[in-house]
Amino acid sequence: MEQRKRKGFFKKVLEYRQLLLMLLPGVLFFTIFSYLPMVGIGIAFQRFTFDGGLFHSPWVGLDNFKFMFLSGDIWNVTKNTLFYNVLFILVNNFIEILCAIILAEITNKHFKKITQSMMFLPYFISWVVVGAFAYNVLNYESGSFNTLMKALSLQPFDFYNSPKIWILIIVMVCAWKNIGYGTIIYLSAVMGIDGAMYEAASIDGANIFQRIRHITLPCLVPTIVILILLSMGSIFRGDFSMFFQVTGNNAMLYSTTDVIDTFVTRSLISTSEFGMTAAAGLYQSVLCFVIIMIFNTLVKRYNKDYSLF
Amino acid sequence: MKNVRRKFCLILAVLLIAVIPMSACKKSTPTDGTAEPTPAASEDTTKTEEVAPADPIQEELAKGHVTLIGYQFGDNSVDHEAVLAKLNEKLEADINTTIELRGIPWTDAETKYKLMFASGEEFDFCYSGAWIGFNSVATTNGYMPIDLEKVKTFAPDTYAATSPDRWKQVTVKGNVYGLPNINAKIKNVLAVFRGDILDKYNITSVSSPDEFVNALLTIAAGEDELLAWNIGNAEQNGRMRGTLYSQAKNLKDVIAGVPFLSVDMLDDSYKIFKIYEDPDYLKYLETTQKLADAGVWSKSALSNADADENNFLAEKSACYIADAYDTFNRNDATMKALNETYANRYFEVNPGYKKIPEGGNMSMLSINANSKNAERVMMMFNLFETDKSYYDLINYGIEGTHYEAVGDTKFNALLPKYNDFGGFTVSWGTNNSNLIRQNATVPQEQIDAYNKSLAEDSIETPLATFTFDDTEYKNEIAAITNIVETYMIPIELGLTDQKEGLEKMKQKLEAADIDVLLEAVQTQLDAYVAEYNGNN
Repeated sequence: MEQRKRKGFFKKVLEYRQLLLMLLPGVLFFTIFSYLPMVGIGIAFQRFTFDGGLFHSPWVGLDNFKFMFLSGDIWNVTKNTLFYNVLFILVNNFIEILCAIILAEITNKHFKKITQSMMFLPYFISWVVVGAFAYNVLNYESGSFNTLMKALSLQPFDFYNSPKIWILIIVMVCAWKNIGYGTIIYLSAVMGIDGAMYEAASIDGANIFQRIRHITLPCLVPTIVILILLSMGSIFRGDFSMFFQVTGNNAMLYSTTDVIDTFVTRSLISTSEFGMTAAAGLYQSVLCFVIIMIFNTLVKRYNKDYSLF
Repeated sequence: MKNVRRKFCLILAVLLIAVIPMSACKKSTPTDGTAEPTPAASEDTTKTEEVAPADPIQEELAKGHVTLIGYQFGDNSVDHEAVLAKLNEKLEADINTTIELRGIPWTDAETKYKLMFASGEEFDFCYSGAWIGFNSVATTNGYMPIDLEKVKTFAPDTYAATSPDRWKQVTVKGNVYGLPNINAKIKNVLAVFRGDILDKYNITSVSSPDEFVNALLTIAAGEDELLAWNIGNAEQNGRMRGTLYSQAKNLKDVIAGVPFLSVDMLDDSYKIFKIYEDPDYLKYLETTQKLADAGVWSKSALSNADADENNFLAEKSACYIADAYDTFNRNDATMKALNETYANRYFEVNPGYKKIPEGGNMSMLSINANSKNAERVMMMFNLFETDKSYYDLINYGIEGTHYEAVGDTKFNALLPKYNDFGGFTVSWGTNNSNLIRQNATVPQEQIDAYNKSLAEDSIETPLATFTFDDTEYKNEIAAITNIVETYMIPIELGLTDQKEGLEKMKQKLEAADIDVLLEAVQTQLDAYVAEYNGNN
């Protein structure tokens, strides 16, 4: 009751100083790296000059956005970006949850640790290296895959001229590289589930699958929803290094592997106009913002506790 | 509601706390850095001036020691520090200056170069050139406009050696933005073949596009493990287009990076045309299709990150196209060291094609707009470009350690130390044809052939100095640049159905307003030609 009493602002600050102090690094971080740079959005509407800087460069309205729409490819590219990210979210989360549950159920400590490390390892390999792997495995003349095919007297396969297969390759490579990281998050969520519930379930005669179905999965739902919502925030951002390096920036594959980031880089690599790059970034941000607002509202409607805000 | 308001107040307070220290940071930046000694020093000089009006160079030197910060490209070589120390020793003695050279790694070159200016970093000079965005940095006011009167005073030898044309080439919108090199240079593109392979197939001459194509086809048919020519990226693709199409017709692209618009160098009307409407271009496409089908290059060529030259040196292919000078100096020796029997052979595929000598805007040094030491940069430039001892040091290294002078125009590389210092890349901007040394291993007849080509095949044309002002057409250029990689290169490499691809490319180009661009370039070019002819 006492806490509900009205208190002055400064008194409250004083009272919660420890909590506020703990909050400060986070607030500072996001202020400096997320909120202040938003001033830079202005560049998207300017013809940026070095001496004019952020505040005195001439305004050009929406002119910086024009290049993306001129040749009409932006729609395909936007569609690709969205399509891949949806696939990544579904596939990666599914595998991560699966691995987390399996790891949690495994009792052999050494096996568990080794498996986890092996899964985590690819996360630290640079995309450039992955790209070199891919080229050396897949190239037509001397790639290891086709060398094997030839050795078995089979027809070699021209990967770099078959755009469709790259959907599979990219999704697989992305999962291979990222599931180790995601698994850890889910694993910690699984570990956080109250052990008493499992005990009660086994006393009631639930088998392992029933325990997973009726305890683990429902308890994971909030984590799943939050992680998915967070990844919605970058659903229109293609991972540039992945798409550029893994495909080797091969024009033959653009129909299925070109995403907004690679498209924009290709257009602006020689002009590198700051205004135009900012415009492309803003285009992505606005799309992401719309998507995350829609999904957050939907989640809120379903269960208020699961929504982000 | 009140709760919300209170929360809002709290956030606002925290934000304010966060912003205050940062605004303090901002204020403190301009006062630190190398520029600080200058104002104090200039007060001193005004005092000395009252006593006796000295010449401006002495006056500048009296300001005291200055450390110039400069940017060049590439990571530091093994002996970077050793040579720099030697250089600084000389500079200290001559102009009371030392320099600090920072390198931009090649992998970041295009992005980091502009960010240097955008971030307001304090440095004095940097390498610049049309290929690294000289025009766009100049139009966005990144470089300091250079006062030619000052050049006359502080870099008199450079001023005397640089032709008025050269200055015109580095002028953007009425301001001079660079100290251009004085290197009369033409790109003499040659096809380099492995000698042993040519002997194997009895190929003796490659001096026309047809012979070149036949040589490639013969090698591709006979070799299993070795590719005839491993090309892939845009640059190499451009060389292929040059060798098999534009050189023979003496064509030149009017906008760098937009190969769709070309002009005949020998046509006085300078009429720009779209190459894909030229029947010869269609014939060229047929040729490349034939080469692709024969397996001259890899089916995965577009993902191949190596340059054709590196592939050649890695013994994976039999041919590459290269700039003559570089090749003689470097790769011939490398290949010989690899295997004596490889004995490179060089061919001019289009003998006598017309070349435009490299303009001053291709390689120069520029002064940063916020540098406080422009005069010292000019003095340094003067030494680098016109003093042989400096020229040798920054290009070839320390005499006796890296190279051994042979007369005035040649040198012997002292291996293996020679490879530990490839020259400061900043020296490309201070190049001077009168001071260049050739590697003594280069056969005299190659040098003669180059000089002959320089004398006979180079032409004087307004196209050499014309640069398109793209301020109003950045969108069109960005969209069209994209089409080059997306459509043009796969078509030219014969990896996609050419007929279908060409149609699609045309559609895309039209959508990207290629006609608007063509008209704009033509208008600017016509005006430029009129002005050029009026002046000459």
